Amino acid sequence: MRLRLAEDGSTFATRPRAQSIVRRLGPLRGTEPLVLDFDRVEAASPAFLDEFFGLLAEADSTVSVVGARSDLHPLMDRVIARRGLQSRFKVAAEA
Amino acid sequence: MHEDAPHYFVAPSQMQSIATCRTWNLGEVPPDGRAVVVDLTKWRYVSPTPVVGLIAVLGRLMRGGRDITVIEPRAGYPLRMLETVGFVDACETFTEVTRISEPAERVRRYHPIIRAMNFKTHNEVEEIANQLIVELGTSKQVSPPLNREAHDALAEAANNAVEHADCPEGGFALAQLRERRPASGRSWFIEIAIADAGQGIAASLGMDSDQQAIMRALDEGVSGTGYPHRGVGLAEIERLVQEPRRELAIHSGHGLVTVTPEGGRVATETASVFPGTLLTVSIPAGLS
Repeated sequence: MRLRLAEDGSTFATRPRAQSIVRRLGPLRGTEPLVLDFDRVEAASPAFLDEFFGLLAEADSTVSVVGARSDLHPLMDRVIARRGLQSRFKVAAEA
Repeated sequence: MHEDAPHYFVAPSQMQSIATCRTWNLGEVPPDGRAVVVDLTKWRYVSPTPVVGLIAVLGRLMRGGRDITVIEPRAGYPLRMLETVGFVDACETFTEVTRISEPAERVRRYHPIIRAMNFKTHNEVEEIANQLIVELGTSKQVSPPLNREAHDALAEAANNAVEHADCPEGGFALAQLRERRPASGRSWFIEIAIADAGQGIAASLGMDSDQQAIMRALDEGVSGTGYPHRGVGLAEIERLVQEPRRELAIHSGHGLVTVTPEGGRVATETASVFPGTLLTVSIPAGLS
């Protein structure tokens, strides 16, 4: 399953925003590997990413992050490491 | 002073220092509900930090039912800058403002990126943070990685205000492109200021010392929510200012902590008290 963040906007700032997006995935979650497409996302705050990745980790065994701006990668890596999700979340350089 | 006379919470002679040194003498305001006159006649410079701080302070005083009179700056430029950054409009989010003089003409040169805006909800934080990115993108004066830094700093500081301040008036945000003119040559930077007149960081963390509470709040994983995985916001803002030419300043109660790449954290106990939390982040704009 591929989730294109850009369909929800280009900036993401808060934890409730992450909760809202994950809620919409509903019963589809966990049925197949999840691909998070960050193409055309200009900004995603630490709080948003922490909540987003944390919630997804509850049901999705493997998550691939693709299309994210390179300057977002270090923040994503920190969030993933802080949550201990390195074995399940992969951030790819290319879409 | 006559019993009914308005109390100047900062003497007019001290107003210049408000604009430049973050001096907030609110500890001198007696808790008797007397009218307050805020005399800005001597303001010469108008920058985001004192403006949003003052707006938050006025909101807090209004909450106490006081009548407040604001005397505008005498000089034309700061008067125009106050109009430019939306000072009166922001005050009207918590009180009815009666203007005696006509609004001054706005300054075009240093157009604000985000005029002073009130926020109470996460949705409003989303809107302001998005607006910042749109404005920066439109101006084409700041590179995309710096846009993202500005977005994240504003979002995290505003999220903290929504989640921890416990302030009926909410928080206020203002971001502006500004210019430094040191001896080494002028440079441009974005100043982002977030203020709330809520409970302050020490109360949020259940601590006594404002100074120690701010230092603690900057540590990763420390949060007043009690939930796991929280407490990333201020830590991430501090991480942003580890890069050259960035600065973070947090004033809460009697505590003031500044963070710079060169000096690290510097904590001071201030004589002045800010009733709530006033946070400023400076990020270079990449212009010359």
